[in-house]
Amino acid sequence: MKVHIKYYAKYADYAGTRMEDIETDIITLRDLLNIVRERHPKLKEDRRSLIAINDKFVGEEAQISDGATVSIFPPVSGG
Amino acid sequence: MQMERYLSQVAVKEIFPSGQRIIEESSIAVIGMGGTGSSIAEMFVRMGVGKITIVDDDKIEPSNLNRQAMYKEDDIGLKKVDVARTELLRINGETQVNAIDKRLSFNNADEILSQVDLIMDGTDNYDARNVINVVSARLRKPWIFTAVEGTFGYVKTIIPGKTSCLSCFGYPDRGEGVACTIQGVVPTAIRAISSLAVTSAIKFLINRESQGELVYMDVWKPVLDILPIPRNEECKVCGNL
Repeated sequence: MKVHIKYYAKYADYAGTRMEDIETDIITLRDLLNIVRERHPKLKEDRRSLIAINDKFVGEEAQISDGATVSIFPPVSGG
Repeated sequence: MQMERYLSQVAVKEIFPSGQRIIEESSIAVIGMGGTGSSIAEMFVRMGVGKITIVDDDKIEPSNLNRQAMYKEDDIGLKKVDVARTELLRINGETQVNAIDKRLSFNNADEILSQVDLIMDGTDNYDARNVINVVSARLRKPWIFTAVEGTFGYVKTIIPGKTSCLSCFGYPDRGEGVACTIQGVVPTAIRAISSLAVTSAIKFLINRESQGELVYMDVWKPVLDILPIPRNEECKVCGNL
């Protein structure tokens, strides 16, 4: 199946793109994130990222389906 | 003088004189008087909020002056809340300004927050936001989350028992974060996020409702996205509300 990945803020710089598609057979978000982090190692710098599937925030145990859009945001502390 | 002073904002149908009355009767707390907090406080006082409590224990440093509202070169070394209180009263003498020279903690949060209508997050670290998140849930106090880094930031209205809270979507609950002078932040991003936060706050005060979406804004690209965040029934902070 195909999953659309959207990278926000500095993650777009880390990935070199704001969006990419990944072909995969895995169904859990956690496994998908492992693939993404191996592909773009600087994403591992944040101990925790904020993740939404189809614009709804979810935990890493969530399941993904064909055609889903996974948005990855950095946590931010400044103000 | 008052109606003339606020003529331009009461002419907006979303505010109207009825909304202005609500603003003038409202009591808010601004936690943290750095970039976002000082900007938020200044905007609220200019718009005529009735009472504002500002909380911070920092002193003004040279590296603050590029982005933090109200502070000037002569103020370096002085307490932020003292300078801010003076400036806020110069802007609007009708507003009650309560300055608290403390860092918000679990030991003092109930006392500081229990009497306000709305809490504004101007903090710069995960620990302080966690205090606001946990205590606001216990006190059932609505609050506006803000965070800024680089060229982007987040804003979210949190109404305990009605919208998701920070813990619902996995926002970190501990840590000092990284100083603005190290991670970098564009001053215009701070003003933009502060403006969105005050707008969200005014909307909530007038309409008493919000879906609690996460608003993401990048001033450099520029991009603005709005993402729903459903409540998490298993949230350790608000799941039982």
